[in-house]
Amino acid sequence: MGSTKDEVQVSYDVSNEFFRLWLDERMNYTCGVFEGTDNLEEAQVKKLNVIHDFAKITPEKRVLDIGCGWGANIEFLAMDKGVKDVNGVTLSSAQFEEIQRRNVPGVTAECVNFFDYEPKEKFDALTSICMIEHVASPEEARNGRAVDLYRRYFKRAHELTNPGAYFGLQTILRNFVPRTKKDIQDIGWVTYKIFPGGITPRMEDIVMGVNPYWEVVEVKTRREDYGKTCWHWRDRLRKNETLIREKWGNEVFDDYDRYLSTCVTAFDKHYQSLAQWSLRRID
Amino acid sequence: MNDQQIIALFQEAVAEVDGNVKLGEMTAATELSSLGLDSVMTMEVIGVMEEKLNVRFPDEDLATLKNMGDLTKLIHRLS
Ligand SMILES: C[S@@+](CC[C@H](N)C(=O)[O-])C[C@H]1O[C@@H](n2cnc3c(N)ncnc32)[C@H](O)[C@@H]1O
Repeated sequence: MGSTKDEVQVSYDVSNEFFRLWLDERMNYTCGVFEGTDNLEEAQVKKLNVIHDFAKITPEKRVLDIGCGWGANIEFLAMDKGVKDVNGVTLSSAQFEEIQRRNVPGVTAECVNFFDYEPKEKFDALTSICMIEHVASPEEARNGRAVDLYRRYFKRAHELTNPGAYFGLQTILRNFVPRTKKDIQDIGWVTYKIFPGGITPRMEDIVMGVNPYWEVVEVKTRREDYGKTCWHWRDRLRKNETLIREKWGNEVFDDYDRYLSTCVTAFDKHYQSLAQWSLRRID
Repeated sequence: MNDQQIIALFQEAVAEVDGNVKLGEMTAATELSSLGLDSVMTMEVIGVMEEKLNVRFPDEDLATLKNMGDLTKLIHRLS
């Protein structure tokens, strides 16, 4: 069933201070939107605006962010967009602690598996920024189970929403398998070592998985934006090399440098891409 | 290109990827999984063939290849 809690901790619980060194200020750990800017901070705000617009969020709507990370999006919705009732779920204890530390008015978070989450009330809008990568494992995808697992995720999202809801979704896409040994090995290594239990979805699997719960209203791909985002992350990581080696050891620095370099290549060579989706609930 | 030529091309591609692999007699019925290639090598061989044939095989077709006959059919379909 995708990544377990233990596997999620491998990906996100290295240390909040470590991730703070190379992510943007609010700690978005997903692709930004570099439209008219080369600045990572601005690109992340643009991304959050796209997802906000795709989910048709207004201040009065009750919103859920599925896989909310360190809280970048829920904080943005509450503080910059004036949304009064913003909720997030994450499976990572370290991320949950950071959200609690930020203590943003209007924001409620729970450290719970989305599939076990039982909110008191339904939601008027959903967002989920690159959490679906944890919903199917490589083995499950190989055995042809990915679409069923994605469908279970979209079904649960449907159950948790009121009629008329929109869903602003962002997903990495697995476009094609590399044909060179180094690239195959690097991508395999990132999949198993940095994000155990997960695999990036294929676009057609998502298109099938949303049925019969959500209608695809809009899709925008942003392969190059993700390449740029990873380049910025690696640049910031490298600027902090000495500190990272001292505090977290050589393996952490070397692993994250290899992982981010692999991602820069993967987006450049079309192995992976990114999609932003506006979905409308089928009532 | 006939099926025999495609099989010969496949054998050349395998030799390029790893000269130590010994391939015996091959027919349309030869299962890809019986050739002693791991999954990385199989993709490398596919990459070499794509270059030689100047085509690109879609991943979803590659995922369903079982034997040499499937590969020759795929190549005929794409060219
Ligand atoms: C790549 S991070 C993205 C975080 C955030 N959306 C962002 O943009 O920075 C994926 C997130 O999904 C969460 N996640 C993975 N599986 C989950 C599950 N089953 N239930 C809830 N959250 C999950 C992880 O804890 C993590 O917060």
